Amino acid sequence: MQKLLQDMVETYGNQVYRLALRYTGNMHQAQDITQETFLRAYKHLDRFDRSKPAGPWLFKIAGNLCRNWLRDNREVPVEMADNLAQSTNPGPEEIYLEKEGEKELMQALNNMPLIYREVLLLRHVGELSYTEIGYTLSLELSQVKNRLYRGRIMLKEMLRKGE
Amino acid sequence: MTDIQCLDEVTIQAIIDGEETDISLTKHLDNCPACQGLKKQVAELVKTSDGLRIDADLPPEFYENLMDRIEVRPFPIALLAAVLFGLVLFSAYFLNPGYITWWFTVGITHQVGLIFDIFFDLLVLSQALGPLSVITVLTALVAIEVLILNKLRVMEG
Repeated sequence: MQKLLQDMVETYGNQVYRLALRYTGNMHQAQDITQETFLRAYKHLDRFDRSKPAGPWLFKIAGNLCRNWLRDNREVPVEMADNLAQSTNPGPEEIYLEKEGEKELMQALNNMPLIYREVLLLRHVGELSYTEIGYTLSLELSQVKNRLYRGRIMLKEMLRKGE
Repeated sequence: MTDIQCLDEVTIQAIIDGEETDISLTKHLDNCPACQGLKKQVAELVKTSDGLRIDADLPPEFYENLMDRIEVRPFPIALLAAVLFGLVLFSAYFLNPGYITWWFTVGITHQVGLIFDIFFDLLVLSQALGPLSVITVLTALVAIEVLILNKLRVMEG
């Protein structure tokens, strides 16, 4: 069981963390969500179909946790770049997140309806296929395609308005 | 270009994402000037969204910390519960030595069974609620036992 979990962490740990980072904009929260994701996965390993890749299953758990986090922190604006700028000794990761345009990107993302945001993040951060996104979000393939397209348009529009 | 209708944005997007493998569609896209214009626009959208990627990695100690939370160490909890349980019986003997003798000689064995049942139920409960709850309950039991036996001793002289 632990070997399977270790494999999952090695293969998908960073992707789950990056997804949580995009949702929360906070490294500590993202680490907590990632840890909770793998704790829940470990607890429910018996429900996991080992003949399939673990990614979509893990992203499903992580997505639920992120949605819960968003619901509980609705009033707190997520400003990744601002939060990280307060850090006195930024690490390499923080320096990366302070890259040009990051703040605008996070703001645009956070202003998007969740149904488009989650599809975009699963595709671009989780690197899931359309079919895997469909499984993760319980959507038809046509819904995945349409939401992804509309989400991409929305993101570009919001970034353009923010310029 | 007459054999197939021009493609919509969603289909072009799927081709760019590598999700559409119908050769006739990709062939049309490669050869149709109208679709090429649309492809350029969709590719721009995909490129913008690619900016969402992050290179951030989990800290190296992540897995170790995860295992610390996963690895259950029931033995110390069970041991502590057993010590507390023993203390209950021990305190009974010290406060009123005749009490335990009476207890067994009278033959109220189902009560002994009941106490052991409760003890093991508490252990199971501790797995669900955490060790703190079972320790609290057992400590309360010890306190109640001591209090009752103290009262008995005072009453019996």
